[in-house]
Amino acid sequence: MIIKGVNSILGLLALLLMLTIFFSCEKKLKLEVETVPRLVVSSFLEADSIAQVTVLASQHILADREDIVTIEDANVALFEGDNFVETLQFVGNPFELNTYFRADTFGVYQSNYRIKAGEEYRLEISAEGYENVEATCEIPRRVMIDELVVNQLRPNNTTDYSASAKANVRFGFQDAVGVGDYYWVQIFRERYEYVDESLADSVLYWEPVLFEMQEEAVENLYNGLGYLLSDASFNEEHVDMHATIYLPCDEMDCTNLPIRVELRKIEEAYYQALKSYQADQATNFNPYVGFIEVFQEATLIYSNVENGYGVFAGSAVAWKMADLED
Amino acid sequence: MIVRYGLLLCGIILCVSCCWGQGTDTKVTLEVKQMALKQVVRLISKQTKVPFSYKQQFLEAEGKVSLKVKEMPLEKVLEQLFQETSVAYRWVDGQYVLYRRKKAASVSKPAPPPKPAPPPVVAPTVQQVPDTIRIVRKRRVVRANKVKPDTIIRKVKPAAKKKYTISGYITDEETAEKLIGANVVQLEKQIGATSNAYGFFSLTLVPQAVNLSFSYIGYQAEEYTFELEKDTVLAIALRPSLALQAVVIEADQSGTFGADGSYYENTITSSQMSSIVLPLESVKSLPAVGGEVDVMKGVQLLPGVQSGNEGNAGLYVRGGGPDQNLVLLDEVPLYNASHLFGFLSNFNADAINHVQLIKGGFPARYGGRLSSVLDIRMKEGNMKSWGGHFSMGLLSSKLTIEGPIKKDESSFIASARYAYGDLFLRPISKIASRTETAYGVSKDVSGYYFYDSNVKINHRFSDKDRLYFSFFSGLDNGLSKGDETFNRPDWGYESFETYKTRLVWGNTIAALRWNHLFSNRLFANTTLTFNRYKILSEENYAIEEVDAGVTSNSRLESVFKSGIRDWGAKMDFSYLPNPSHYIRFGTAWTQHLFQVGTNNYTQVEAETGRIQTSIGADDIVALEGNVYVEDDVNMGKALKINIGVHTSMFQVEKKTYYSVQPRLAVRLLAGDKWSFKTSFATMTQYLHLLTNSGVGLPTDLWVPPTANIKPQHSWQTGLGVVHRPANGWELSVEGYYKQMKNIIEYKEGAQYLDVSDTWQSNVVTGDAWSYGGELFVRKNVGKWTGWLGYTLSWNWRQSEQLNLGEKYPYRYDRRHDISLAAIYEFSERIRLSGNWVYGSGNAITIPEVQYAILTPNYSNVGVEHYAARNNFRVPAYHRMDIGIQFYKEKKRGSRTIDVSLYNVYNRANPFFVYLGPDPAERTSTGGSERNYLWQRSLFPVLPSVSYKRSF
Repeated sequence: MIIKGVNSILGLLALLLMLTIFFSCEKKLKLEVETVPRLVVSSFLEADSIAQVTVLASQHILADREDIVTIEDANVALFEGDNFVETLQFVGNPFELNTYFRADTFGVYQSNYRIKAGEEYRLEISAEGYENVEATCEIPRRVMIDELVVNQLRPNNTTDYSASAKANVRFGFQDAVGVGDYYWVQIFRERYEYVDESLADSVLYWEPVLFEMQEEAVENLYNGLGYLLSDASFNEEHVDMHATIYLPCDEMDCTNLPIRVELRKIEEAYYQALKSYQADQATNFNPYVGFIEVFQEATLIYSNVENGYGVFAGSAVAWKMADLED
Repeated sequence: MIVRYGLLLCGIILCVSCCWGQGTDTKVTLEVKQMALKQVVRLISKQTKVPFSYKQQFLEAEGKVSLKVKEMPLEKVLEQLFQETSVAYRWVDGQYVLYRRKKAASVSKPAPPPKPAPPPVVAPTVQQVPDTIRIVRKRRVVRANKVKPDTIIRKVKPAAKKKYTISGYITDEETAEKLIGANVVQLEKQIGATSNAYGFFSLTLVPQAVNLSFSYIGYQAEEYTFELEKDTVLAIALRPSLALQAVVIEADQSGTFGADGSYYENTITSSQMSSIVLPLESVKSLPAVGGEVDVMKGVQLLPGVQSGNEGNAGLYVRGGGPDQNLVLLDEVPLYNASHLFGFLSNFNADAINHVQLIKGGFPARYGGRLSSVLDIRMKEGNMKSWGGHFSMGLLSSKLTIEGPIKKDESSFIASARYAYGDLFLRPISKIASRTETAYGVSKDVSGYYFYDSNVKINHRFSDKDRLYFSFFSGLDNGLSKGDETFNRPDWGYESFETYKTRLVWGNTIAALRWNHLFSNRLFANTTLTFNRYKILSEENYAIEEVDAGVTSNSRLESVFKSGIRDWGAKMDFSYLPNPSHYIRFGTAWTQHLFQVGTNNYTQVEAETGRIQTSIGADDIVALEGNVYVEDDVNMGKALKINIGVHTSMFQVEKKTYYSVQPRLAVRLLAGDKWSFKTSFATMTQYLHLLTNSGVGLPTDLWVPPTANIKPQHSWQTGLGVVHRPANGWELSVEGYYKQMKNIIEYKEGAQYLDVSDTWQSNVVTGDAWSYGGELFVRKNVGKWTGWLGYTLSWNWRQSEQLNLGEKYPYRYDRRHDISLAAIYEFSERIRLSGNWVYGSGNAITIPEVQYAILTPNYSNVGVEHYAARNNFRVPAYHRMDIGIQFYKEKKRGSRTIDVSLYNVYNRANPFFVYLGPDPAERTSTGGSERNYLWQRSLFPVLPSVSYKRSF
């Protein structure tokens, strides 16, 4: 009895299976979001440096990326406290870098005025066709590195960073008074780069070194750009930090190589912005593609620009150098 | 603060309780002479608007009566009317049920027991009660008491009269299966008890002539009257009665059985709120994807419960995550309750006896999870005769066999399910993957299957001792293997490569349980448990090369293991000192072994030999324990309070966490049709689940609390009302507020698949809170049965490290959630069913604009900007399924053919949504730079058929 029933059902099952093969279908959805383009400001001021502000425009998420436009006719006014300082001038792209976008599309505005530590600055930007934007920042005061020790170079027996040698670095500093202090640590090595023989044979260039911090309270930045620190775990204390630097000494001369540690005291906005870029880039650099991309958490990009996007934040950098022992 | 709030709430409830009355006394004025009894009942019903239920033929046979009453209370009118008839009546569920008085034997008083303790055990069934107990006809007892038994009892009751306890087990007469939630009522005083999860009941009364009713509807109720003069143990066996399904009234104090045979708890009288006993038989009748009946899908149709994505069997209860549900299978927690990447649950409906979901107002006996308790009990096995089921569907086949090992003493049930994806996947993948070139051939085979099996054995040593052994094992196995030959004689080279990958995950649980009756008021349940959830991923690669006549072999193996293993022991006691108290207390201890994940690599090469490397986190051992006590207190007829406390501790890596969790639930009756409830409960959850986006991948990891990731805590309060507007109808409305702390979330930019020893760096903690209202309307009787569930809810989360510290909606924050399930009984052989579900779209994060940022190191970053986390709502989810069942009695047993249509109107529901280019716009020179918003859907209209044979 059972077998008879099973046979008839099997026939039906086979037929149904043919009709109901699992497949997933895909369709486009309408995305109803704000489409008004807004000004995008990128400005990371540094004490004792001139002010540079990049002004671009945002575009709808579904727009063609090639359509990104720079704003060349914006009025970019810089204020120190309540005092007007200067209207920044459009200089295009002074960096000559191999950029993601076309090199001539950067809307960089520049001042001749040097930024002062401890001062508050305000940007007011207007451009035709866009809502005016405004942003403020406060330039922190430097926090000095009071000690730097670079240990002897030793072979790197691992495959980490494709480096043949590594060395330990220790540096210390006194955390600033008050809570909510943020730092950005980078380590560089000296390098002379050939540029243009009409100008000079070569120029001194400080190249970022790949390194690892041993402390748990640090946050790694993408592409070896260094580490972020928050004083949550060492408020107002003297801090000793330990790092291991990696160098391709089989390809270069590491003898007495000068190593420079930079400790950049940054505003909270600066810190939040770098962190959000870090998280966003980690997602973008994800090797997975297609379906797997849905297994990633989205990143909220930090912005402190009123009526626009981007960031306007300040920093003050201190550095110390020591030669690498052979 | 929490305690203060609880006390305040309690005070408010007590105040409110004083203001409520206890119904009305309906008066009757009527004068009839020699009128048919049925007609008189109709007149009374019409005048009083009080419904009466009875069998037509029964009243017609009673002949004619005369009656003259004026402004007389209805109760007295009925007393007078039925005095000279064989009609008895009872107020049940908002109406009077008329039935024939039961016949009962009358025997002499019992002889005094030889010892005061232990009490004499009466034989296995009441029918076998020894003639030492005097059982009299109910009618005679009533008359002897002059129809005012309460008055007489009050007059004769001494101030400190000794009380005696009636206790025992209630079972199914045909199978000896224990009846959970069966009802015992002393009819005169309308006080009673219900049987617990093991069929045990206890009722303590003063010595008197007691008239006890034992009922479990769907079974023939039994009434017995006898003189209670000592502690008495009874073994009650109730007989199933199909005929009762046709009778209109199916209610008792503990619960009801609907027309389809599903059990429904009595939500009016219970102090428990936010709890639903899943109508199992109804769920089995509802259409299911692939014809695969799934209790978790049934639970998802209840208000306050949401599924994650299309087809997912996970539960999201009142804003909680899938890790916050305590899923108990025969009292053992189940860590991963899903098969097939979350599309099906582990539970074979044929082996399950009872499913109860508690969403709030948690009694103190439960703990360890924040959002819900899903208490699933397996069947015990037929002690009388052999039987079973066999069923076959599109996805799997199932076989269940049960029967006595020794009649009336021990039985077993064994069930197994096997999903045969392999049968189709292997040949298809083999054909599709074969590639042949001039230099060789490559081919691959992929397969997937899952199985689960349940075994339960129980043995009754005596009326006081019973032993149970439960075992469950479920496993998913995905496999891919292949080989490739490459031969270039012109190079003098040839090779043969093979690879094999396997992903296996599953649960094994076992429980050894001992029920012991210390006295007829103290019941104990002692359980030893074993629980293991494991994930195993294996990769093997081997190559044999012949190069210039030299042969070399190399091999690489990689094994990833992860999981959790528990050993546990628990003791639970039920103490029933008198009908006003039901005290439960107990303790449970579990040793966890967390295997967060290790990778073992083995490389074998001719030059280097064998190299073995092990990478990963060390195993972590932890101890979890709890002690609880609770009391279900009757404070008068209207007020019932469940008060208790659950304390727990968790010890891991030299750190010990403690938690004290007060619980309170209050029920206030307003007549027979209305019940008002409120509750307050705090919960602590020590374990965290590192899960993916809800797709149910086996990479889910259970992890203990750490220095950075603290235990989760919650408190929840609710207010609700239950109403029975008419027979067989039930309406409940509840509002709730829930606050949760230390909830883990993936941090921004985290990749869900990156589950490793660095898991802590991928998550952040934060708070969550949810609030809303739930409506539940259910019809249990008649040709049409079913329910409507509606949930209106808000679910928020907040973390300092996410969304710039601002609150954001939970991913499964669905404003509206509707479930409609209906079953129509065409005839005894054909049953039609359907369900419709609607849920507001899930919240996901979609960027709105894009722009470039020049970073401080002069590199630029192209970013996609989100206004806020979970800022976008995917389209609403809705779907209708229909099904039809053809049932036929056979010579031995029955057969059922189930044909169903999933997603009748072919709604393309979102499975996930993402931004991506349109492949159609790609050119030969490069890809499109323009993105679109894409929705991927899983199941179109999907017919299925299944065949079931019971024998």
